[in-house]
Amino acid sequence: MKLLHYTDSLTYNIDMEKMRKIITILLCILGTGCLVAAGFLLIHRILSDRQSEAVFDDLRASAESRLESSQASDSDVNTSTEASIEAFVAEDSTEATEPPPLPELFDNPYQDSFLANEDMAAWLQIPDTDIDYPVMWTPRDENYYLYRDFEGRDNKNGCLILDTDSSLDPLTTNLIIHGHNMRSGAMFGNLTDYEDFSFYEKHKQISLYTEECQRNYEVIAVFRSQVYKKSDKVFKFYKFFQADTQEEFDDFYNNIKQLSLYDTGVTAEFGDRFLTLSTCVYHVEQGRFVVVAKEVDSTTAYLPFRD
Amino acid sequence: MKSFKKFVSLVAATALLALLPAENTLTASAAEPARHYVKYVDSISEWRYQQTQSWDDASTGRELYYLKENIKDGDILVIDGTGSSLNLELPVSLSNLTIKNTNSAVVTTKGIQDLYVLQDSVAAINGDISNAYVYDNATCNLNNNVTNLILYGDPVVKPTVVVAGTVGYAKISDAQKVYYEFYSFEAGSFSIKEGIMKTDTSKYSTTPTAQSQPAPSQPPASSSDYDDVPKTGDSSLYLLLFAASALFFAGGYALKRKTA
Repeated sequence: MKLLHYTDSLTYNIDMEKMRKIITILLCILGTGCLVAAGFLLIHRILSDRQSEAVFDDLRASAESRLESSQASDSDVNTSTEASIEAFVAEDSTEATEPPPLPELFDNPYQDSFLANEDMAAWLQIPDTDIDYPVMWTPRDENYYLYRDFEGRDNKNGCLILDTDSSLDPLTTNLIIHGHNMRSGAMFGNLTDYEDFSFYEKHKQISLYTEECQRNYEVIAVFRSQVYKKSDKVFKFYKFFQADTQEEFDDFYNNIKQLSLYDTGVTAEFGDRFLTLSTCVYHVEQGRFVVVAKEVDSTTAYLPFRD
Repeated sequence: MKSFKKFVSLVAATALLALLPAENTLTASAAEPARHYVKYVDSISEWRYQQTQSWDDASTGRELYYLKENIKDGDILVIDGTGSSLNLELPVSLSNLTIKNTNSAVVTTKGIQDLYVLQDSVAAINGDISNAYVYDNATCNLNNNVTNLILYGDPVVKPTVVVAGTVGYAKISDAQKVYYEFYSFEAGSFSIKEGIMKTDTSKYSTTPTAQSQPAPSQPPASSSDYDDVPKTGDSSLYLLLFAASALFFAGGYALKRKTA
């Protein structure tokens, strides 16, 4: 009886051992599979990021060189303008004593980028940060560049996109730009740095280069919000594009000031325009981190460059 | 055996982690609406309440006070009974209110998705209604706005309905044919007595307008019913795969050590 029990127990132990071996092998296979898949995804992502970043670098370099050359020729342009004004005055000295004011027009530093892709609406730059990217606008499909790079190739970073309800021509009261919150810091990956007041103090200015001019903005409010359900009757920052009345303007302005994580001291009044930068955060489902800036000037007008 | 159980738990946890969606969110499904039943109990001559699919005659149920305690937005309520008049004030919106056999029931809510007033019932309802269905010879006063009002009879359509608010769309039909389809009734104008329309023709439209198209019943808002805004999160699939692979290897290693 004892012997029988012993053999039973032995068989049980051998079976268990076999089972453990099989499961160990299965686990190793699964682990290897996951590792290979993860590695593949990571490498693919790195390569695709490099490719798209190379394109952005080329565009930035082109803008920089244009800017440098235009600055170098600035003095020549001024001299020739003055000369032509003098000639104009000399010709019409009998009738006019003062020439009409000439608008200051500059070469658009981003004209190569605009020409390279018709979908580019503007170039967004926050000085001394990594946020220095083209902004795409595709009314036919708002999300077209959400997972595509500047050249239309699949890319997890995508591009910054201008909300299709925003418009540069005619200019809407609020321009909303959406961008991915990438762990790598690409796109709006570092936008949440604005939660830190000291970061805000060093990066108050935002520039948007459109085809016509350079628009400058100053950060007015920084807050966390979310995308709400369609039925929710609450303040939805992403629904504000145009203020035709004082009430519409006040509703947006009062809400962003109330939500703001800190007081920027910047105020706005009916007629002012805004730039809103929005990216995903995870404090709630469908969370968003939002930076709103008020337009302060758009003095630098550009020469037309399209035929 | 104990370690084997531990191991199985570990694998189950790993599988759960690996199967998490890319957004790392677990969404709990919304609770089903509860069904409440209010009935006039003859033996005690009182309206009573049970939270049940159908009334259990073995029990007399509880006082209506408990209904007010338990009922929530989106719940279903059935009122059944020929007893004394019932006046029920509920601080919720209901997904479904069914009234049957009542002599005089007054129900006040924050709103009703679907209202059914069945044959022989008499009722007055306070609160906006999305879809109201009144059957056969039922009589009711609807004291707020109604989006869609369907009057149906089989074999005869003889309802008596007065609406104090507006009616977006009204249809009167029986099993054979549709008698009327009218739109955009002015506030307080809808009146039909024993199946005969009493409203002045100037108070409603015979053709649909943009606002008065019969709206399909709206299901309760789901968690995916968000505004359409670009999703700008970063995918974490590769991180999940790395974590899953680490757990699989750790499990395998632990098991190997145990075997050795």
